[in-house]
Amino acid sequence: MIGGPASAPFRVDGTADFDGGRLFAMAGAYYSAEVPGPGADWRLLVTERFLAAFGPATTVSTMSTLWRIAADDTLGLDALIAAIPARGVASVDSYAIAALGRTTTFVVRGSGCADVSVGGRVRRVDARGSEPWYVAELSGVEAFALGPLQRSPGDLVQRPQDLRIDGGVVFGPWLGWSLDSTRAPRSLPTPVQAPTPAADPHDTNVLGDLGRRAASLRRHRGEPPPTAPTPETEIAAAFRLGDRPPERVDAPVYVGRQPRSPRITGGILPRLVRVDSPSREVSATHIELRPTHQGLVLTDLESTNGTVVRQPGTGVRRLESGESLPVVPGTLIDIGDGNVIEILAYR
Amino acid sequence: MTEIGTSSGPRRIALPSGAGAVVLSWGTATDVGYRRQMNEDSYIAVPPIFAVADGMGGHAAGDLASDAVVNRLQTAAKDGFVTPAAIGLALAQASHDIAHLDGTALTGAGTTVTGVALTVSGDDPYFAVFNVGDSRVYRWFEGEFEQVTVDHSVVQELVDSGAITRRQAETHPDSNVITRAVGFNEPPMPDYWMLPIEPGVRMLACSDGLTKEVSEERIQALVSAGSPAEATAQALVQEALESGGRDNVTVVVVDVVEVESARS
Repeated sequence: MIGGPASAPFRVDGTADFDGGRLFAMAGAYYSAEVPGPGADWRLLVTERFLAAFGPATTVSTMSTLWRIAADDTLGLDALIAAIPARGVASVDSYAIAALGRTTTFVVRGSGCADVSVGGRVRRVDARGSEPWYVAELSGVEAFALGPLQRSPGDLVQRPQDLRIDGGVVFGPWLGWSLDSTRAPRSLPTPVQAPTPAADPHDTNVLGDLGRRAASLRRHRGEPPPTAPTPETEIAAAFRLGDRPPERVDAPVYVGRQPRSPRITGGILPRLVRVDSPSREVSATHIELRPTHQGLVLTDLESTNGTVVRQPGTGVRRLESGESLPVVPGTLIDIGDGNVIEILAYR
Repeated sequence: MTEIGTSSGPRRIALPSGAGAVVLSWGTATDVGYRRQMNEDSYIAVPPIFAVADGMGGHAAGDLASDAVVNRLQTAAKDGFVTPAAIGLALAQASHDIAHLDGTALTGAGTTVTGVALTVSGDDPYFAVFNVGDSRVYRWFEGEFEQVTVDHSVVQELVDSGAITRRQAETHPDSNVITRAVGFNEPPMPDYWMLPIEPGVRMLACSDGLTKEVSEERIQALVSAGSPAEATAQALVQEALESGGRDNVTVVVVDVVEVESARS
């Protein structure tokens, strides 16, 4: 469920306390209730261990995956980061994540940044183009805000109109956290909606709410609802090998009998797909599928027996050794020994 | 020097999906050498991470730096397999630790680190090779010996640009200048390689105390001599000492004994 505004006089597991008309909050997260302008509605995620702000382009499906991982106590920050698509149509270009603990780890990418107060001094952690992310670990963190670089830094004071959130996913321009906000007692704000019970991070309803909220925001801005993709606008973003389940391509994919990757300098780790090839028709690393914003690019990696491609409408052709080709949904790629890869659109 | 883990005979490591396992054995060896006062190398040889770190910095700061890296890697290695993202985070955390070291040598403490980690892609096991600096990982398989990592060093950049040959690089006066490290108040930028795990693969991670003393041909001869991992590691260190032993030398050898796959 969406973490409701905890600004009403109720108690949530000792994290908020109502006393004589003033609300005292201990360590906790809050976000701005301002309705962000178009393109500024970041997805804000809060669990007991993680606070994160993902850029406006982040899809509901990606948020669904990230929420599931963030709410799973057996998974760590590395699992959360590894699940963020770094390339391809669903790539998340900008985010800021904070992992709470004895020290606080901040991971930022693109235009995501963290303004962090340590010892009363606020410093900004930003990515400055580091790929796929920049990480900073800080001790003695008192407060921080996660959001876009455009946010004015240095303002980490929790205001009365800010909304507490104990867990869930909401839209907002930025996400704040403070170790101890009792130093700034604030008068009780008018509840904007009925208080909600303590957030259960395993409540799957969060995504339904997120989707509804997205729809209502679109209506609010007079934007048309998303339409089903037409064949003209469909771009290649996934593949299916034989009868295995389809996979979205969020990183370079290498397919072969015993595939290996080239040197990876940008930090985006590839997906390696091993296929059976009893007669060794398939080379050890046979093809690469590289995701771009325009779709997928297929490259024959100087395979021994070549790659046969059937593109819809253009018939069959054989790729020259080392040749690259943009592929569209419906393309079939035959690398030998009955291993056929079908290119799919992303849904 | 910090040593995490010891040599081990064949040990079965189950895949996280429960779909099979890999059986590895490994050996480690290290020596301070004949010229240095102390050994500032550290290593970890505990599945899923096998790595060597070569610390740099005066007043024992290099020792603390290499110690920080292997300790953080150990924390990342809580399960039988590890994600490359966890390695990247561990190195960033080590960088933080090094920046906060107490003492007089804060102006310059850092370390190289290189190694292999067990990871999965889909349901299949792979080695994730990672590298920052000029320690190296080599791979030996079916008679083929290759250097996997590419040094982050001034001479490697000269070789890449065609200014000098590989042979000239070995005697270049700047051969000890590296261009990337963990520490020195810079975010670590590791390179990665994903390599298949096949029975018969032997991986070698070593500090430059080996590669600057012993020729690649001689290293290959010892790696392919058919000795078990531990004896091979000891032989390599012994060879570095006999060739001069001017630097600390540390070697970790990992053998893939068997791969049990769920799919044929």
